[in-house]
Amino acid sequence: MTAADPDSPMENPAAGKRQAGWSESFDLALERGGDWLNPILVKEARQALKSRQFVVCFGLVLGLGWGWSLLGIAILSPGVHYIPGGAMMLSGYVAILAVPVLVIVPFIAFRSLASEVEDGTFELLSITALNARQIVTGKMGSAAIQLLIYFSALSPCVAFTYLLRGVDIITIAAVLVYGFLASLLAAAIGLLCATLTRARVWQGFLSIALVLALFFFGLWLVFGAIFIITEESLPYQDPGFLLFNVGAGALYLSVVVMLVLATASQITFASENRSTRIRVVMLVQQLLWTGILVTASLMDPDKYWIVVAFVGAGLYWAVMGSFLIGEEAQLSPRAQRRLPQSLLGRVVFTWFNPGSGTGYVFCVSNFLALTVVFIFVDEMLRLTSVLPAEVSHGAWFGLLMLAYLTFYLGSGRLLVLALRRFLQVTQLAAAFIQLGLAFVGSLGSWVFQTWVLDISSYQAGWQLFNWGWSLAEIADDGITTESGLTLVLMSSLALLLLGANLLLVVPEASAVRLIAPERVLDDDAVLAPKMDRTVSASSPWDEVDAG
Amino acid sequence: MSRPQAMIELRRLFRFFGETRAVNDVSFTVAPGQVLGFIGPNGAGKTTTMRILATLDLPSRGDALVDGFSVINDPDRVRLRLGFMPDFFGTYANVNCLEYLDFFARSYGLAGVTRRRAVSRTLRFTGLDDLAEKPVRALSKGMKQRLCLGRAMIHDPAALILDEPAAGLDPRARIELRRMIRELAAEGKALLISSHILSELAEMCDQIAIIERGQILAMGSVDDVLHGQSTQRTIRLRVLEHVEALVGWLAERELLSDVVADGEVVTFGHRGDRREEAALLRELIQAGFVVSEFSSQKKSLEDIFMHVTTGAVQ
Repeated sequence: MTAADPDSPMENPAAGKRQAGWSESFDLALERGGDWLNPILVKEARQALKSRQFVVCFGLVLGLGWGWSLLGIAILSPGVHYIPGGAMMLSGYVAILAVPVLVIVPFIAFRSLASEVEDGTFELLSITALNARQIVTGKMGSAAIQLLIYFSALSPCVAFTYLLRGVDIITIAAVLVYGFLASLLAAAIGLLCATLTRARVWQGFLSIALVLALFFFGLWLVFGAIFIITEESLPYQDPGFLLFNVGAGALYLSVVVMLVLATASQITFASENRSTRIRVVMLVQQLLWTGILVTASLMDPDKYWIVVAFVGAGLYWAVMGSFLIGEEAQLSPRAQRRLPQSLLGRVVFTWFNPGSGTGYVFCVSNFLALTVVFIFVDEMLRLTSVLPAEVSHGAWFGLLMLAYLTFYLGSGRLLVLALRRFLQVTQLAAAFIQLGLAFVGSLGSWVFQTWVLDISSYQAGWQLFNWGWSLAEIADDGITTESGLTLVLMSSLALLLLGANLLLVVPEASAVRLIAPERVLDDDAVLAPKMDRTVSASSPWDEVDAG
Repeated sequence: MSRPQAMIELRRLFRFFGETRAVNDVSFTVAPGQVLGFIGPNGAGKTTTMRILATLDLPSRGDALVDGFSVINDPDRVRLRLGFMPDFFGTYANVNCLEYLDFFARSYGLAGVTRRRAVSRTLRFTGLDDLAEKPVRALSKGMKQRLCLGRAMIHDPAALILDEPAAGLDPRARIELRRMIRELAAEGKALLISSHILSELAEMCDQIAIIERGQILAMGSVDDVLHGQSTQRTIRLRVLEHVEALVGWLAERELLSDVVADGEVVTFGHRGDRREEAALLRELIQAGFVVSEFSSQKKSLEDIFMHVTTGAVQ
């Protein structure tokens, strides 16, 4: 290669701009700032802003916005200063923004990742220093930039609605912020959809399904927004409004992070650890759910928040668990270099390692923790006479749900392990097996009793595996002879399954930290020369490597 | 520091796709500054091997190392040391050559002046500096190949893997590519190149490896493989009459094989040396055959390839 010329303006813009004015300095500062940005974001922004589709779409939004402004003023005239027309005008702008914001931008995010796979550029990206998360967040960032540009196109118009009567600033801000967040969520879902299949035929079907889903999702949101703008103002003076928004915002954030991590795990290299980060987010979501529902229980104790908490968490862990029990316990040596080492570290963090056994224990432990917390809260409310001192149905409901969760996930896991001895069972197939088990257990029992035996009342003997009917019974009537029998039998079966699964978890839980090879340590020393070669504990539960 | 001697190393590499053994116990090394030509029919396992080295796929058994780092355990370290040029272009819409290279430079973590220098140097090396502002999708095939080579080397990797880099190029572009590859090798980079254009490989490679059905059939320097596989030379004769009689006469002689007649021209393999060739010519004339042409040539890489491989696919 020929030698580089450091003074060439192309290689070093500063060389040609030493005498430059403030605008060039600003340009240079921007360029330096650009070095810190995600490369995908830079590339996508360049591509998007040059594309004909963006120019046409932006022009249409701008034109329609100004058109609606003129038309609205014409309709409201001559009383535009007195008539509360702000709500009508804002509704129009929301409708104009809806198509690019709720349909086009999320769909572009989907196509952006899907076309990387179709055109082969994804393989080129995946062999660079970028990791899967950077690729996904870069594409999310690009969607956010496009959204901001579309919003900015109509910002003068939206500001104009505030000058008219009939709409307050909080409603305007809420509609814009909710719209922005809904679009980002849709973009995150679009990105995940793009990774579901690499076959062109299925990508085509997915494209159609996604456009339709986005369209109806957008339509529903637009009608909701127009209703809030024109009919029902936001209850922002209600103390629960802030709590709801904080809770919903935190949950929203965790869902977006989960979607980003799930998308990244779909496209990451096979030997990477795809599971631990997702489990951390699951734990965060569980904590958020617990926090929100405990707060709600304390603020409004008369409502059955405890049952809501158990139903939500039970469904959540059933769905997540059906995927986790399908994981394979493949820990590459690279992932094993970061395993916890001390006894405390291993006891607490082993369950975040990939594997069906650790996943099973993770699900059951989380639901158990949630059950303990809510039974404690419920009992405290009764002990302090906030609630009547009668026996709580909710606590029994939680215990029975824990038993069903432990039983079904445990039996599903054992079935998947048995099947894997003979054939390859993917994670998705394992989830379907779990779904099938729950379906057969519930519907099969019901059909047998009510259609074959022709008995219409709840019978613990026949409906032992029918989680739906049993849970409804215990929630409605508390502990009766029948539901008590179900609870005892199902708890026993759950403990049996838990024991069998725990025995099989031992190999997964026995994974120990591997010491990095000499070549890797050498490379680390080159990359960070000042770094001390002696490995030190990185946390209270870590230990220094003996080697 | 324990730096390995081989820049690229395959250790008993296997890759199964169901019952198919796409790569079946392949081992070889490529040293810094060495160019290894990877030859094999379609479906032989070349691209699978290259994809494993490029950290795009995982081996079923064995390991592949780049600069001592395993593609399984340390793919991120391998990626920083390896440039891969696949057999497709992989271009983006609405991006020009400069932006394309700039994007990949950023993706490899190059920033500021380092990145600008890398882009500038790559544009110069690949001869694309005049086309920097041209949209990538408007480039000719040859220019796209150059750009893809530029993308593979933008981060100045120690090893380069080029899958069919000369496919579809015109003669001038091939000569240019050959020059660039030799320059990269002279800089100390290890190169692994697959190609169907065997004459090109023979000229630019220090070593060749012939692979078929996932297994290495022959490996070594081009001369070693040529001599190792066969010392036979091909003799081409033109006689003005009695062609059938000549074929019968040749078929009865020792040291000769594969006698084929095509009109007045007869070709056959000869395992003897130059003196024995001269003796054969003398005997032909003494036997009364009217020989108007007699030429002898060493077997080419293509002949060796045809001799070693069976053309079987899995």
